[in-house]
Amino acid sequence: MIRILFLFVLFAPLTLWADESEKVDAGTLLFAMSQAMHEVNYKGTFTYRRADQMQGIEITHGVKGQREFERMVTLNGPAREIVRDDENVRCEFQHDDPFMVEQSGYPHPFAFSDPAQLNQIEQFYKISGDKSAPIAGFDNRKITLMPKDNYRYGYRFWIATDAPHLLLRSEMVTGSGVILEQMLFTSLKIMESPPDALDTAVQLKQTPSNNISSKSGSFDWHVTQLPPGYRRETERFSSMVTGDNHRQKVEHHLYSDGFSSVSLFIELINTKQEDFHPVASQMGAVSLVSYLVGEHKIVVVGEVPLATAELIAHSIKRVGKH
Amino acid sequence: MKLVTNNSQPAHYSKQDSTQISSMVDGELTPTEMSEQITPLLSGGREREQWQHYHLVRDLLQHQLPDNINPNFTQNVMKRLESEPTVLAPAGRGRAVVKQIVGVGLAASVAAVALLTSYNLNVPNDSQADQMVADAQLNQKTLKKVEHWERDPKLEQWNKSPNLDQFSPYLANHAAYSAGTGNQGFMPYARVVGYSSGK
Repeated sequence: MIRILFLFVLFAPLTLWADESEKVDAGTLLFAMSQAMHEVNYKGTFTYRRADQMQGIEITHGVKGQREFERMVTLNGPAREIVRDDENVRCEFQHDDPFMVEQSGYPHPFAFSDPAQLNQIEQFYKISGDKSAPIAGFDNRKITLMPKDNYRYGYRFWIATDAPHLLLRSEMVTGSGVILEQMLFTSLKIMESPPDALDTAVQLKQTPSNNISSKSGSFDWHVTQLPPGYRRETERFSSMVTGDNHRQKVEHHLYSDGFSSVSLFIELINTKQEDFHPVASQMGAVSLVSYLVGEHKIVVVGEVPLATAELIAHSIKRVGKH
Repeated sequence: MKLVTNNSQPAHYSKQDSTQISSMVDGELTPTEMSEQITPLLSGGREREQWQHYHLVRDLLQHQLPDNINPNFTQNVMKRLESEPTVLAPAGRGRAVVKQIVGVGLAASVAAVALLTSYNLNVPNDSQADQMVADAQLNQKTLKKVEHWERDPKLEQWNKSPNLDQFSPYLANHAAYSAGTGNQGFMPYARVVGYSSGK
């Protein structure tokens, strides 16, 4: 018994040190990954799986000057393509008109700028690191963030251990470990110069007719109750072509805890309550709630548990005039 | 299973090529169509590469990511062992008992291997299970602090399978802004590309 106590006293500090070291390692890798995904030129193919659906997607990412470009295109199933740069995201889907989303000009309070920010994340996620088998020829480390409550999902990131620390595989999981969505690179090539960056830039200049742009105005709605750790990242107005196929001014709020995020959209529509079909749906990692409040359509969408989307959707209050 | 690393200039596939290769892997082509497609596949570097991708993907789905372990796995192994012909001699009560013990042990071992294998993919071990219980208890405390809202029973009646394409602009806007955090890499955009109603 004395021996056991002796061994415990001897090794307990080492265990604590190991945990702390592991935390620092996880934080450093997460930080490096979030930087690398924006700064490195690469091209590859990955699989994206959610529920019973899976798609192969080709990704091309490049940085030219200070400008970031990216293109993703599906390799199977319905043709879908996204081309983006620092300012815009152009979406082109097989059965829909192309549209563009403006994403520039707002602060990113949760973006990692220092590994120490992990302490903030750790209030709501249990973080651990582990060794893993090579992926697409890259040695890597698996970083796991498991949620400490029911308002967010967990994440597993397989990050290359060698610079530039690209994300090789990721999973979004429930608190009990069930996989909701998965991304896995099957091939990946890091390049010295930006691949096809000029082609991408040319495509982005072809602005679709139903462009979406931010507009100023006073915000009429606010959320009275948010899950712990979530805070409002941004609020803005957009002119969106929505499901009714007409351009509509939409109030958009984004809430996030740094990893999980959820958006709230509010728009005035000309639909009677009896003709509107409310939605409360969970599709893989994404939850979607849509219903009518008077003449306003409320849409909450995000990669959060349905309870989080429902809580936000049903705790909104109108504060403005009208 | 060997993972494919692309060290050459990445290929550009036409949508037609992708569809054909996908169909071949999924076994959707007739033998004649298969014969017509397989010749260029074996000689073309790009097609061969995509063939490997699709097989990797299929293997991933079929073998590498089991959602559950078959609960009857141990019983099935036992049943199989019992149906095996006896080849050892001499026969006797002792051997039957030994066979039973070995059978139980073997089935348990195989089940343990399955469990350990599955742990790497999905299933938690004991210490993780303990942690999950602890986390669940924490969840309850957390929920009590913030939860003043009870789920409206009417939500059960709401549409659970909407046409996703109707919500693409919302999803794209959400992705564009949530990606600003940068903490998930390109995943928010992959979600927009990957989500489809499949119509």
